[in-house]
Amino acid sequence: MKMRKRKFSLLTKVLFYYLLFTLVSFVISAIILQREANEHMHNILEKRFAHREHRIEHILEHEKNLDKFRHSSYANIKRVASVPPRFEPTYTDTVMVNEYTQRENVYRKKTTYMTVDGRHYKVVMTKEADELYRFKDDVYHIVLPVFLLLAMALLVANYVFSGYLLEPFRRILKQMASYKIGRAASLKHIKTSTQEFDRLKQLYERMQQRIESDYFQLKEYTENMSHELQTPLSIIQNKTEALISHNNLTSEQATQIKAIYEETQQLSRLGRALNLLTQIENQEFQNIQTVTTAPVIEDHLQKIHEMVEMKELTVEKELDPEHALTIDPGLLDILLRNLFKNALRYATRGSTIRIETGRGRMVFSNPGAQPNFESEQIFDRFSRGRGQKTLGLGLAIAKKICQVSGLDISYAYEEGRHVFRIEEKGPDSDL
Amino acid sequence: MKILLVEDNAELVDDVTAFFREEGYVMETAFTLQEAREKVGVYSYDLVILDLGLPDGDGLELLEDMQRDQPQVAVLILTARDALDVKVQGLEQGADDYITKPFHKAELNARVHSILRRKVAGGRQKLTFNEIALDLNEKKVTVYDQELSLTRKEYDLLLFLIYNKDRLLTKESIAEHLWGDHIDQADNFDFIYNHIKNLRRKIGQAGGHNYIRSMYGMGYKFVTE
Repeated sequence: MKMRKRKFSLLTKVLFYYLLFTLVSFVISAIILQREANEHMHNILEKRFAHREHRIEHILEHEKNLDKFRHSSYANIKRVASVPPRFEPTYTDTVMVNEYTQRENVYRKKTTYMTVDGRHYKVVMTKEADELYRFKDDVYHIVLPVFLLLAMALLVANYVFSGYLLEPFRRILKQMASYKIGRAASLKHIKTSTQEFDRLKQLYERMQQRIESDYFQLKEYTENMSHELQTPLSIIQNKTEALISHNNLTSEQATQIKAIYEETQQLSRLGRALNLLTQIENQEFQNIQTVTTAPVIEDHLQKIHEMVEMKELTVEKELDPEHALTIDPGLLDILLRNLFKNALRYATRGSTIRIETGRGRMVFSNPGAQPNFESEQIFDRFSRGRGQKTLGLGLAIAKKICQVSGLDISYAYEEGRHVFRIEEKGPDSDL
Repeated sequence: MKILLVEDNAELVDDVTAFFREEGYVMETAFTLQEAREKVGVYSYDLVILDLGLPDGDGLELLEDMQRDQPQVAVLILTARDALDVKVQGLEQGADDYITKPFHKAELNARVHSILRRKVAGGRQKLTFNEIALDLNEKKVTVYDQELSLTRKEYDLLLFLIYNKDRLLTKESIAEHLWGDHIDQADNFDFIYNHIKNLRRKIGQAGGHNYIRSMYGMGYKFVTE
């Protein structure tokens, strides 16, 4: 089975991508801000350290005793033999307890070397950096809640606006779904200030007009065809009948006239069948009612009993008196007629035709030779059994009737029998 | 009996007119709705054969007028429009019968006979030909006063043959008459042969003459001479 991808509404999708983009830009700006803060903090501290170093240098020039610096938090100075080569000052940040406030604070420790009057000293200075660290944390403390707030606001807005913003779109969709050919509906009553929806409205209206005009042209064409073709066919038919009525025809002439006559008949049947197909397709049969099938089937059986006897067939029926279909009775009649015709034609002599109704379905079956085509093709136009002189439209008509009446027709070859099943589809299952 | 044929195709008009004149009817024709209205208004007819697709309008309009003004006139609708709704509409509006193009003249003839018998003749219920007599009410056939036991189809076939005596009835027209479009006509020819055979046998057994002749394998003719 093919996995179906989940579908999301346009606004949800827009919101998702918008939030993703905002999150990324928030993270980037937070990083930049933090860097800036770092640098800024470093610069300030460095300035203070420089100031302190300057003072230490000054003290060292005059004071030889370094004891007073030993435990000072101001600076720890030690005399050293030499300065390590290529030394760069090092910085470390540590958490220490403040002497006065007894609170833990972040301190920055700078280690450097100094040379005053030829003497070398190692100087370690510490300076409180708490404020600056707090500023750095603030960047995250501000950015994250702001982002969350924004996301929540957008979610709420999405929920509120999707109803309002997409309302015209939904109405346009509803109109499209309920469109029936030959019954164009204007979208004028759907007001929208959204450019895209307005365009959609216009395009749909234009498309609808095009479909309508094509449809009416086709309808006119088929109507004309049927009228203008059937009259000449009537004449040909009558003239050939008149010709054949003469007693003094040679058998050669009779054969030829017979051929003309038969082809005319075939042509006229073909015209009628195609016309019927078009009429069904155009949904011209709208007298839809709930029809109990059992009496209609009995009536058909009555009409065909002669052909049944002639072919030495047996009819087995199991009719549920409750079984009913929602269909135009005229169409049901044509449907049954075609199914019976088919069963009679392809049933083997002396076999059994079976009709069952009930549990929401109607099943026709008859024994016969294995078909030489795919089972779905049986409903194609002009597909016919080997050596059969028929139009090959009966089952195409049956299928079309089922399509417009919300029925499912299927064919299968099971245990040597041709089986046709007609079932009622669930409501709107073709949407 | 007087028939008005309303039809715009001249060739078809000639054909049908000639046919019914031979049958002994008085035929008048109208090519347009306007012409038909005038004729119906001035003369009286027993039957109007009405085509629906006329150059200046829909034949159903005339039907409506006639139902109002002279409902006693029988109307047979003749049309190329095969739509069920038109059929239903026509019959609901009071037409007596309906036939679609292309039609067999034999079929048209049989329908005209039966409409006129029902509506106009008002009880000419017997049809006799030489030794054969048909009781149209009881649907019974006697030969030399001896009743034949015919099936419904055999009776219909005999009536169809006698209505159209001395004319060729093609197998197609017989099939259409007996079974309508209930089954493909190509399948029906064996059945027709069987019915003809049985009919000949039953008439023959009662001492009747064999009037039914096969024509070039195309159909049958009820021959009177």
